[in-house]
Amino acid sequence: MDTILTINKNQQFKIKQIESEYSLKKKLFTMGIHSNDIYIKSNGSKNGPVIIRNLSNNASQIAIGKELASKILVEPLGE
Amino acid sequence: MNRTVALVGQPNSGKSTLFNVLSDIKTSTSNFSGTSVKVSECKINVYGETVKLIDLPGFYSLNYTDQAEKVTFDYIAKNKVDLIVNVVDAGLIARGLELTQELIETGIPMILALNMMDDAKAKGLEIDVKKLSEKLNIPVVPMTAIFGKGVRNLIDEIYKQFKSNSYNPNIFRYTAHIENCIHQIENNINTNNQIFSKRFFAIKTIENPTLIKEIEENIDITRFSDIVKSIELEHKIESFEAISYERHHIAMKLAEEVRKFVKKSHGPFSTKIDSYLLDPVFGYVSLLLFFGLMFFVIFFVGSYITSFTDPIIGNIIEAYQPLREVNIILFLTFDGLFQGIAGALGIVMPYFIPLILVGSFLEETGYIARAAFMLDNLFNKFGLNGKSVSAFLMGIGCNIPAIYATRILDSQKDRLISAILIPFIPCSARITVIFSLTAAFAGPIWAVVVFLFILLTIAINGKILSKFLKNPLGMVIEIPDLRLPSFKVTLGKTYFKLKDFVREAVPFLILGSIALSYIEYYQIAKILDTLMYPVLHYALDLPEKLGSTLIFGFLRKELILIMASQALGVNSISELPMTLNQIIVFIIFVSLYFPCVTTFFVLMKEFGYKVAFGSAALSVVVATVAAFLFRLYFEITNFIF
Repeated sequence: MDTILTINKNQQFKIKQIESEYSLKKKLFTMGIHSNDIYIKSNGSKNGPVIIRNLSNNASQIAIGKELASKILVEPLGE
Repeated sequence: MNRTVALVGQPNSGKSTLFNVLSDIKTSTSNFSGTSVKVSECKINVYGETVKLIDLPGFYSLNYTDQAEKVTFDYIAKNKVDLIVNVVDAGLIARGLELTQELIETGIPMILALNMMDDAKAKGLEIDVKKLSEKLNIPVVPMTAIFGKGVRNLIDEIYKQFKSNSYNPNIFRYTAHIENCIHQIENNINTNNQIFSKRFFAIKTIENPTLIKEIEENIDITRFSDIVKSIELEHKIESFEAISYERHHIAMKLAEEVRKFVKKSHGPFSTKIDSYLLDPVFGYVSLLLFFGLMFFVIFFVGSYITSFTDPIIGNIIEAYQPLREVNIILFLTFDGLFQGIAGALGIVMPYFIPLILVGSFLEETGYIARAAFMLDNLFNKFGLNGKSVSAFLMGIGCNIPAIYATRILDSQKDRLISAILIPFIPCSARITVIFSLTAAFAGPIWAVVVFLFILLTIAINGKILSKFLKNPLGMVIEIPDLRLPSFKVTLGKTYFKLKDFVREAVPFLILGSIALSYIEYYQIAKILDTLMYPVLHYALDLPEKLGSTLIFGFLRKELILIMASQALGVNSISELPMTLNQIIVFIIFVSLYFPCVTTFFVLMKEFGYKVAFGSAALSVVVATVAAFLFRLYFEITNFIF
């Protein structure tokens, strides 16, 4: 399955699963990152880090390090 | 007793700016998540009543994930807050309302300050404030705190709230199954807590049971484990995720009801610039340009100013020399006093002011978060992540706030590695020493060499430390919109930092300088010099008279410049009787050994005495080895300037 790391820049996507430990999952949730919202990978290469923006709630951008980005499984949209 | 109003909100929502406006005191704010990591307090006048106003570090949720957020949670949980002013960035209203709901669940009376309305309008967002207030059933005050707009209305609402003493917010309801579980827990939980509502306890039992234990140890949450399990079975996700997910959707729905998108008044400044600043090629070029430019501006401005001040100071010192014959005590006191003041004005200030001015400017723009993004992969190689960048950059100004800033890091391991490495970062005091000595002797290239060497030392130490403290978590950081810094705010911040410096460092400089005058006269320095003799003479080949200078440098590093001149009997540092090779070895040692006594105590306070002593010992060993290697290099290669 694709991760935020593997998809291309400017690709819109939905988060399907976060395969991370409790503390980082909690961090992502509290910062407004949830499954089923629509996001865009606004910056970052496949070597990380990446920047995503939640398009569903017009939130600010969140930068995520390579390690964690590779654990966020996504479904690319519009393909 | 004064009533307490706490400003609470997510990072970058403008709390500290609002605090500044309300208190008319300059506290340090910046466009970077979690810069306020300490509680600020002041007294304000609300229609004749003196009220205690508290600015708490920004947090995304009461379910804190780092030490800075814990500071806020602890304050709310352990202090009687009479009124919360929930500051929300109007442009990010959907996300902000998630925290608003959580705060409503606490049961503490609250007003919503909808800040940065001007920015939201520019982004094309129109918010129906009246409707939002009706939906929440709490007062909502639209404002743009940076320009003081709406602040008077906020004071009015605080006054009204105090006067009416009634608070009945609309409680947001979760889906039926979760609501049912909340009710069951709420009806069976035993607590007499005076701060939080029973509903809050019930929700947190499901969402974050560890938080309950922190507030009230006596509550037996295991009684409710079956209820919590039923949520996980019903929703097929973990219980904290279920609550968080529903809260997110309630906030989104509410935001959609009260906001509408209209035409943007101008294009997003941030997006256009970001395409360059975050580009894999231009991003690094701009990073190098920014910091290179910062470095050279500070170096040249500082050396230009000192070229004027040095001769004046020298002339004054010459002028009062006859006083020595008249009254030696008076002479020693006056000499120490003058050299302390002259050191602050003539040596420290020329570098310190440009440094904090440029630093404040960068903080205001929001560039530091971009730097964190660009440097994340590099920092990973040294066992850290990009989030440490802000603490490290802050360390260039002063190591003390930098150590506090490690509170924003998500893991204890990241905090510990950063806190041990931060004392190696040349703070403004050590930059002053480096710049002053290289400007007087070796030129800017050697300043660059010294800085690169220090970076290398930090990298090697980080790599070694990360081997022992392995637990990579990775970076999650908000990238705030870029802001055009306000000249007034940048100057205000510079003033605030300068004031701090004058208050905290100048007395040390003056007292240290007076003490040294006496130490030199009564030859006490000889004892200290003897203590340092093995290191200075055998390992570093430096004048043994610098021993006491280095010991005093532990109080404040700026003292070294004044004291080295005093100890070696010259009026200006450019007259120091040392070879250029010795100057470089001296700079390397001074730059790497422990920054100052205050940093030591802050480390002890934050991490315990083991870390503080360990860090100090490590820095002395690293400084000695590094300076010795330079000496060895000069000797082997017969390198002479």
